[in-house]
Amino acid sequence: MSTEPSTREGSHAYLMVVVDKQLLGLPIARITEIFKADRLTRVPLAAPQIAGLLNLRGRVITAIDLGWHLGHPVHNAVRPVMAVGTEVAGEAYALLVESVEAIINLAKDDHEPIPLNLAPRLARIAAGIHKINGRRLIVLDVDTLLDVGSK
Amino acid sequence: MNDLLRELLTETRTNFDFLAADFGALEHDLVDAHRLEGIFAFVHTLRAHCGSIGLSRLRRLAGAAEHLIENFRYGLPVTHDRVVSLRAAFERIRSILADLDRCEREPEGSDEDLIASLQMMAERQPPVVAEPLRQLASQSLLPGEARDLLEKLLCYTQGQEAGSALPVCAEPQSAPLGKSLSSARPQGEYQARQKVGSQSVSPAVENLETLMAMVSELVLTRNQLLEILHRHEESEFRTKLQQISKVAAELAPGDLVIRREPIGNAWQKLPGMVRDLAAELGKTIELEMHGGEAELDRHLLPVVEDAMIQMVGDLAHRGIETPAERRSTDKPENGTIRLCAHRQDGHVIIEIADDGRGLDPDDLRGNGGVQGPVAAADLESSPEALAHHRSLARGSSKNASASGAFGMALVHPGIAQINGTIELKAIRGEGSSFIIKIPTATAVPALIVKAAHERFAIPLASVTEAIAAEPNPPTEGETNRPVLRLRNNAWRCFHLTHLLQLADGSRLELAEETTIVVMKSGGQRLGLIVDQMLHSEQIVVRPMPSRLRDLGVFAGSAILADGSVTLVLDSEKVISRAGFAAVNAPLEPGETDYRNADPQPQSLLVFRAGSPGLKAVPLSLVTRIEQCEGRKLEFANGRWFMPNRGSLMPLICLEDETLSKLSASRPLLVFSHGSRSVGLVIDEVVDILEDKLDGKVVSNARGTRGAPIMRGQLIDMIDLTQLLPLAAEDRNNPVRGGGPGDSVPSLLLVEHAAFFRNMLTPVLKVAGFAVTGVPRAEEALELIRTGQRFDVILSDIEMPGMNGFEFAEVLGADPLTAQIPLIALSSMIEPATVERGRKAGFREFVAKFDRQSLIAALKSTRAERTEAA
Repeated sequence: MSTEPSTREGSHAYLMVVVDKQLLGLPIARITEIFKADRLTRVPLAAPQIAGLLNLRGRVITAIDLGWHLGHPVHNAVRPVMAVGTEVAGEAYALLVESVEAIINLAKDDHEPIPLNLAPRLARIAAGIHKINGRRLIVLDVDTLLDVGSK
Repeated sequence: MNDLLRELLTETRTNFDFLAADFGALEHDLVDAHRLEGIFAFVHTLRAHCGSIGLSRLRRLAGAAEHLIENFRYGLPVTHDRVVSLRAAFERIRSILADLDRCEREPEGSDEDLIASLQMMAERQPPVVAEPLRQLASQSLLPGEARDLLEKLLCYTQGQEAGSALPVCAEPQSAPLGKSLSSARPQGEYQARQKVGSQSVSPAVENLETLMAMVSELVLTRNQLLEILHRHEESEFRTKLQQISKVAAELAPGDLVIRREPIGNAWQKLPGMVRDLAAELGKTIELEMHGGEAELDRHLLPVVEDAMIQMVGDLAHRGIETPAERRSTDKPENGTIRLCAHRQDGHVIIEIADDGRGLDPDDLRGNGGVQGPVAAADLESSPEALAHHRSLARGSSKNASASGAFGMALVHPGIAQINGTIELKAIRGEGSSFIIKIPTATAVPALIVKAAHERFAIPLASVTEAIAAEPNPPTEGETNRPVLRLRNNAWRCFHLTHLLQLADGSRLELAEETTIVVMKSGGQRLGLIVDQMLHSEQIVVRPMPSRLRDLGVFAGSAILADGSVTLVLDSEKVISRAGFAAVNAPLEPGETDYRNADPQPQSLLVFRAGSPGLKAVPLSLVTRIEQCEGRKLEFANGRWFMPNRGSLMPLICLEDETLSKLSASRPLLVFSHGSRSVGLVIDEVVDILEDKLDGKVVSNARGTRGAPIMRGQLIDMIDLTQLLPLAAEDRNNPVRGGGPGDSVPSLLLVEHAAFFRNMLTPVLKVAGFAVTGVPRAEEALELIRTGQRFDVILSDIEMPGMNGFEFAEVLGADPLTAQIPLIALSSMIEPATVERGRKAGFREFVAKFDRQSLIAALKSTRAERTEAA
């Protein structure tokens, strides 16, 4: 992620999203679009964090439920959820979240170490922790996140 | 990517295909030297290009190759090793270009080895040129000057009589380039080809991809609009939409064949490669190629080519034996590798088979086999792996390699990526075959079904029928699985909901009425129980996203008309997941699938005789076909005979045709029946067909058994068992050896397949037995329990329910039946099976088609009994 363009000297832009009341940060440079995840097709026999497949303008993309990493899948709700589009190795993915908050710039040296008590599912995909107005924001590593389960 | 580089890559890519053909032709026939023109033009252009955009590695390599070809033009003999070294350089250039395409710069590495070899090849013998050329050639050349010189040379040779300008070289195995240069139009063919090339454009593959994606999006949007329109009875949009609809239909991906190429294009390298390998390994290998015209999407071809190169390499290395080994096993010295491609059920299927020793999974693994096959250990450990990587050697699946025949799924990353599968089948000592199955990337009709509120698509190509059924079909057999009985066939059924674990069994809500979709894959059938059948629709199957590729049930995903994504079921994977692989394996030649009520396919010899209609006999019953010459025939006792190996062979004709017109020479089908032969006079052999026979068709015409319809034509099956005794009077030599007072011995035939029962019963009757035939061991036991007595029992081994071994054990345990001689009928005679059979109580093992051994075995049991009595 060193190739990520920085918006200001020594800082990176992140998209803040909420999943199960937890603030998560996704690097803006990795995000292709934000859309409403509509009509998700379940994939039987798939890994639990895979919420299903959806059609994004004629493209079939895999939806990953970020809630699974926090213990509460987002996609058991009836209402449509928000999806953050990203791409890894030429394939498109949608990360399902509850809501999208704002874009924030964070200084690189500002992050705190990942606490030991963080749930293992979450700790594995966390790149760092920041404090924003007293709330904890976990910055996610998109590559590790999408590598989960694919061995 | 820099424009110059892109242009270079595009141009070279187009040329590669031509060049591969050139090399192939050249290796095949060194005299075909004008092929060098194309190669020369290629390396020359490449060198010039590379010089201008600073690709030093390529430039040097191309320069060295160009130098060698130039020397050919000055009379350097074109020899095999020179062509080989040129080809090596060509392959290196190709791989460097491939890297360039990926990384946009030349890969690290040195080509000094190739350059040195090219230089050595170019200089090994000083060019022998005719006097006028010697003057030109004596100047020391810089690469740039070479071209000018070459042009002069070409002008010169054009003006000369064929063969006179350049001396014929003395080196063996070489061809005088000069001759062909002067006789052929220099560059003529190549220019002609380039002209053809210039009539077409070669757009970048990405552009086409984008176009395809956009077209399919357009089609989808149109479909959605149509759906909306359905809800509005009258609308002013209707006409306009119809127009869009028409345009979209014309653009539909199904009609976009622009990217398709014949699969033969991926084969071009193989003949050269096989020749090289054969020379290197000291083997003689022939390569046969069939079906190269089957078309496949262009971007799939390189992947297929890679896989085929690996597999052909595997077969050449490890499959085909050395000539000495082959001689010792009575095989022809020349090994054969056969490539076959055809389209079937929306797939292209490529079979690569050899007649070698039969690959072992260990061969592939131990030697770092390129396919990275699943270890044989997996076969034993996990049931799921077993289902997936099944052993074809039934009954001994635990020890696949010991039984001599096996099959397994292989994993090839490239093929997996394009949604294809590979299977390896091998029979020890007889050969191996790789079967590559690749879906063709066009729209296919599919059935949309619903299970547990989810929708799934099943390609119609793999559906044989769909039947409305009770929610819980009756269950049968020890597995307690639902079975669908339909028109004498029985298919096992499986709930799609269970299969996909969409709900746990206890909470499964069953719809009031369900539908059973009968799926097929190869020789296998499965009834898939779904909640509802919705409709059928054209879908474009897309590969599964990479993270969902290992689920083992889906062929891919597709976007439906309403815009939602659905999953497409893969019939083969579904059947194997349902656990049918073990009990319902695909049919192998010579094996009969008893578990499946579907009869086995059989080779039939189709011929004409007498009346104009077609007639057929099972090919396995025909001993030979020969020509009967009218003048050699003898007439005796109201019957015609033909001299045959010292005795007279009776001849028969169908339908009371008189043999009087036998003056001309006519073909004769010879059937050997015991020690004697009978000839059936026919008019002509028409064809050999593969078909499934049920023996359920019965007709009254003399000598005919039934009239199945094959390929739309009615064909009379000739019943030989009825016909042959007419000629041979077999009854004067029945099996029973006893005196006149001897009663007719009774025989119980336990055989699941109706076909075999029908075939064997007359044979056994002719041999002198009263025959009772039953399909199942349980019925046989029931007959014995009700007091019927039999002198001999002939039993099949593989039967549904109680198998032959269990049957034998039950009989052996009962003192009443323990003494009855038991003969096993089996299509699978292997030492392990025979051993097990003997333990169970079988006296003899006889192959189903081996009537002679069967009669011999029956005779010997009868003789024993007579003696004992």
